Amino acid sequence: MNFIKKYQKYFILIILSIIIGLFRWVFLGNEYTLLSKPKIILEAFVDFEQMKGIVEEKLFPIIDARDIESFNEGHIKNAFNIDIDYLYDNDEKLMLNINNIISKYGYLDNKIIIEDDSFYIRDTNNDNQQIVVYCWSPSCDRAEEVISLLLDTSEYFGSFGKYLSKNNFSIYRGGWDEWDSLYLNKN
Amino acid sequence: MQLRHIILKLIIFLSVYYLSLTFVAASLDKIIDPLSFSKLIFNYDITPYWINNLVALILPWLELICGLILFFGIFFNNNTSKNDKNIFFQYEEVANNIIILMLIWFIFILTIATARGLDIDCGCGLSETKTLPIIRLKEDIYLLILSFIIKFRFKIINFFKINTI
Repeated sequence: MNFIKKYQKYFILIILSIIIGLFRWVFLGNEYTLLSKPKIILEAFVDFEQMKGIVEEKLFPIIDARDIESFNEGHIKNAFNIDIDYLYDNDEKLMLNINNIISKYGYLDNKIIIEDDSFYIRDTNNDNQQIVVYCWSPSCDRAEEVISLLLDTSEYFGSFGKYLSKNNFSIYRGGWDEWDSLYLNKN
Repeated sequence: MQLRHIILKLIIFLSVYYLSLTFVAASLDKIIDPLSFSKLIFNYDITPYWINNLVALILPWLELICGLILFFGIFFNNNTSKNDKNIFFQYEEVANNIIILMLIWFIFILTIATARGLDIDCGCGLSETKTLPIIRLKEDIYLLILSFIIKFRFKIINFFKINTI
């Protein structure tokens, strides 16, 4: 009690701020969630304008599915590289990248639910974000290939399959070619 | 009135004036658009994501309240010494202490951001353009010095053997 009495004025100011802050929250609308990221549903494919927003706002983890040499020459800002050849080799650094995505973006609390011989992933806290994968261009199928390998439940290609399902992925079809010509040339 | 008395009084008044108005002005943008502020906190990559939105809602109001108390406190405060504590002085002291704690926290996260070489908009201060953490770090250190001048003003006065302020 002495502690509360001693710091009474501090508590008053902090509680006042909390009350006014929460009152302000009431007027902010649904996109402002209190204890989780705003839930944004992406379609299976994202276009350039959506991708631009994702990159600038750092909304979702981005995976570059091209080879490592091309990635090192240039890539979309903040993208992680998952080169399929290194994935087959079970490369240590690559596995670290994969585990970083899972832990950093809060997928660890996902649960596998098994019902009637089928299973699905449940996002327990409703806090997961979509993962965006890109390759060179619409004709490049490495993005799809990387997704299917990552979702392999044998966990040979990392533990994505344990926490994520196909619905968690979106593909930026335009890929690096479109990004390089439209975004990088403008900025 | 001695000249050093006037100079000291002026320094303390300007410290209060500058510090409080900086906090009030810096809080307004964040109060209007807490979502952008939350994204800026997220960019620091230092706090768990679930806390960012909550902090973005509450912290600007705390900055505003402390800034206003500090600003008006000096006009309503007729104290002649630290022992003569009225309610304005007590809240002014509390607001200043909270500001010191906030500044220490800002300096801590800006130091980490600078050490990690993060090229992010620090999302603080009055500038409308992108401000790098290293620039803001220097400003926060100056503000911390001002807040310590305000906190220890009576000791400073005694040091210079001036009886009233």
